[in-house]
Amino acid sequence: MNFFAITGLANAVVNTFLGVYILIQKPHDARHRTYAAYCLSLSLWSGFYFLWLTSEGPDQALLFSRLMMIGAIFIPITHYHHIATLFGPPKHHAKIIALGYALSVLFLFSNATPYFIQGTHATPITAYWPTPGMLFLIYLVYFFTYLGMSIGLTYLRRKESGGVKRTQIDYILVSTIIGYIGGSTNFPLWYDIPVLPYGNVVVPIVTATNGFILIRYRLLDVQTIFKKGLAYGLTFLLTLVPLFGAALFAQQHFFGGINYPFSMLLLGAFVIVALAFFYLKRKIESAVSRSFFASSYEMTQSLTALSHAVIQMLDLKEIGHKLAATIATATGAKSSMLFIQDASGYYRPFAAHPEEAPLPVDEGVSQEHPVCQILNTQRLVLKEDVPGLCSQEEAASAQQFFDAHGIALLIAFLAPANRTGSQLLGFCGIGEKAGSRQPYSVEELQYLETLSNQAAIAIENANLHQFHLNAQKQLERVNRLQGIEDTVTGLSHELRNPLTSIKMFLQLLPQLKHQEEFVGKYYQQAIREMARIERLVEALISHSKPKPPRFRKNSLNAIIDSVVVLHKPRCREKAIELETDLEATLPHIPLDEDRIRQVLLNLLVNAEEAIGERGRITIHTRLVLVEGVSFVRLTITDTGRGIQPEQIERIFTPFYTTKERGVDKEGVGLGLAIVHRIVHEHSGNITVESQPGRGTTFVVLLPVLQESGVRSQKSEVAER
Amino acid sequence: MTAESSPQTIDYCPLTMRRSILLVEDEAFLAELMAFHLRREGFAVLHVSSGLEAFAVLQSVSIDLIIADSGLPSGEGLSLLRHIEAEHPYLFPRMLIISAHLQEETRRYFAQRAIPVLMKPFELDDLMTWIRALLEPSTPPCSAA
Repeated sequence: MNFFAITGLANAVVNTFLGVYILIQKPHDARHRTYAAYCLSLSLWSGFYFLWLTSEGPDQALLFSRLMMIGAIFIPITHYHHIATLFGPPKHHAKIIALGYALSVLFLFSNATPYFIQGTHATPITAYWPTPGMLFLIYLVYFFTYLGMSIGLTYLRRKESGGVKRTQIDYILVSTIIGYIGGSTNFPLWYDIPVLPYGNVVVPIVTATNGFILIRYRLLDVQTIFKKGLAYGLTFLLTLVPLFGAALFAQQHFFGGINYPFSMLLLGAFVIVALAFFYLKRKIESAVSRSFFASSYEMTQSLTALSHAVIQMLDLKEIGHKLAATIATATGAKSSMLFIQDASGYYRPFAAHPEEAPLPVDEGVSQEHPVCQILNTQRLVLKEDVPGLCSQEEAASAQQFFDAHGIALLIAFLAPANRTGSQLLGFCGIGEKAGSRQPYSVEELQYLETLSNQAAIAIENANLHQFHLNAQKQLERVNRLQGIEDTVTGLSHELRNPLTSIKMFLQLLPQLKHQEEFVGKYYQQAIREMARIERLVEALISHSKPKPPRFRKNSLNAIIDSVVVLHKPRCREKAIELETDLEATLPHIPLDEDRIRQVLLNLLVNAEEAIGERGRITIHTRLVLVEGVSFVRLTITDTGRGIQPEQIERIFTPFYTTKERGVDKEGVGLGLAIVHRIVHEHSGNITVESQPGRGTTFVVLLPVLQESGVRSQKSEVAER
Repeated sequence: MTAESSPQTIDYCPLTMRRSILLVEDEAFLAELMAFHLRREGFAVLHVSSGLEAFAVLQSVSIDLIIADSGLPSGEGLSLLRHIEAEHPYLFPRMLIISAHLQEETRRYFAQRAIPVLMKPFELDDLMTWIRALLEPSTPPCSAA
């Protein structure tokens, strides 16, 4: 038994472990398989190396050395195969690989003959070092050729790559060179050259490096290796050395001598146990908590699931149901009831589990209610704890609340700090545990505390989202009212003209009623003026009276007509011609009339402002097919100043305006944002083309089929 | 609508004897009614519907009084006044504005120059009162032409 035998055993253990470990990571990955094959060759070689150096007698030594050479024969080709696979599919190297395996098989056959190993000879290490035959020399050529090719291939790949990959390849190169120089120290003694195989100790560096790259493909850096290596090394040293020392001592003490092969096997076993410990610990922990502490395991799982779910929910109702259900199922409670603060500041039943029971119609509790007072400071309140938390009178009232809703335990949803208004967003009442009369465990209470944080964030998110939606609606309303104001101003002018004519006609009528010429000529005209007033009034009413949002089959052309009537006077004042070219046979399409009117008005105001004075606005409608789907296309073209290309992307963004802010009140940048939103709510699409100095065209596409329209109607209803 | 595009003159008697009124109004029916009535009252009425036509008339015809709509298309009302102020200053005190809607700028302009404005819908009597008031203290018709 000598040092070199031990290096062989160590190499065998390390390589076997690495090979098996890497293979189970990804058993179907070619890179992992070739790696395992390479490890197998190395393990065979070093395993029999150990047995050969510990063998007694020349025959045994010769047998083990021949077996050892089986592994050695396959080392170069499996290494090359692995390197070729590591850098992508080895198709270009298929022939070289096939040749390598063929040569290996030939050497394998010759291995049994004296042409490969003649016999044994004495060396400083062992009396039975194999004596090389003629073919061994060819094997050496093959060995170093394939090794050189492996290194060459790695070097070529190094030149092609960069970044992390290049660093990795550097490590492979260096470790390969060191490892093989070390391994090659075994060859000189074959030819009686007095170099001892001390290099054996560095052989595993090749497999260790390559293996690490395979599993931690992106994380390879010196520090990681160093730190981990040091940590594991020290752990090994501190545990294995005393342990192994104790084992040796025990052998000496009980059996009167040390059996080295047994000791080595023991050491190997210790190493394996140590390595497996970290991995097994994790697995076993998880398995234990799953099988013996199922409820807590489920709680953790449901908490994780809930955190993921509520982040994606913005609808308060949905969040409420999810919370009520999760709380009840995870804690095993009979029931749960969620109270959320509403606009009036009261906390009312919002969701419950199980859902079959209808929510009680409840006037709720105010912020001043003792329950809320307690929850503002106490995240978790058990019914039994209430008396100690407030005055007797308050406690009675709180107890009453607990009893009325069958609550055993309350958790508060407290808003994050720096929020205006109440901190208490809501709370959840949890009933007794189902089945048993068991109280809630500390673990369950801890779980609920964690959950309450998650819930508060989700509720706050939903509230903010609702606030955002409301703000959007109000902005739309402001825009609409502003539109009405402008229209009315323009319209007063338009109404006064026909009124003046009619008034004058009526004032002249008494004196001239018998004059054929007067009555005959002007009576019909006066009627026409009346009709003109009627039309204006009607258009004004339909515009200013908000209707509930509703998608109805409607004629876009009719809506355009009514908007144009209102708008014409304003345009005329500015010498803007307002023309329409409407396709008469346009089908009726699902429209929310009010909002489409808003779209038209906003686009017209926009066009008018782009023109300033003197110009033309044209409104077209056509039925078009886009990718086989029918759309009504509405275009509004103006001859205004146009939009700069750099502004075009942003014109639908709220509060973005190209108009000078403050000069006129329209320049707040809402109009087009609202147009954009309304068109999209109609499942339509709006685009804009513009040539600075020439004019702008807005193209609105509205679908003729209503499937999508109906969908938006539903979402619209849900929104309100 | 019967929008006139050229000056229309209807002479009941020679222009020199009658007071002549230039009516600038783009509302065809209203203009027709006004012209009908003013002629019955003994005025010679010239009706045009735009500022440009009014310029042309003022170049060639002697006018005693101008009745103009301030809300002519493309702000022509105001430019017409500026033209008269510059080119025919003698007519300036003999202007009557009828208006459905006054922009602030226009209102200030009229106020500064003491030009009377009748807001639509006006009373027929008010119209006649103003016409007479403006023509009354006058120099003989067409004297400054």
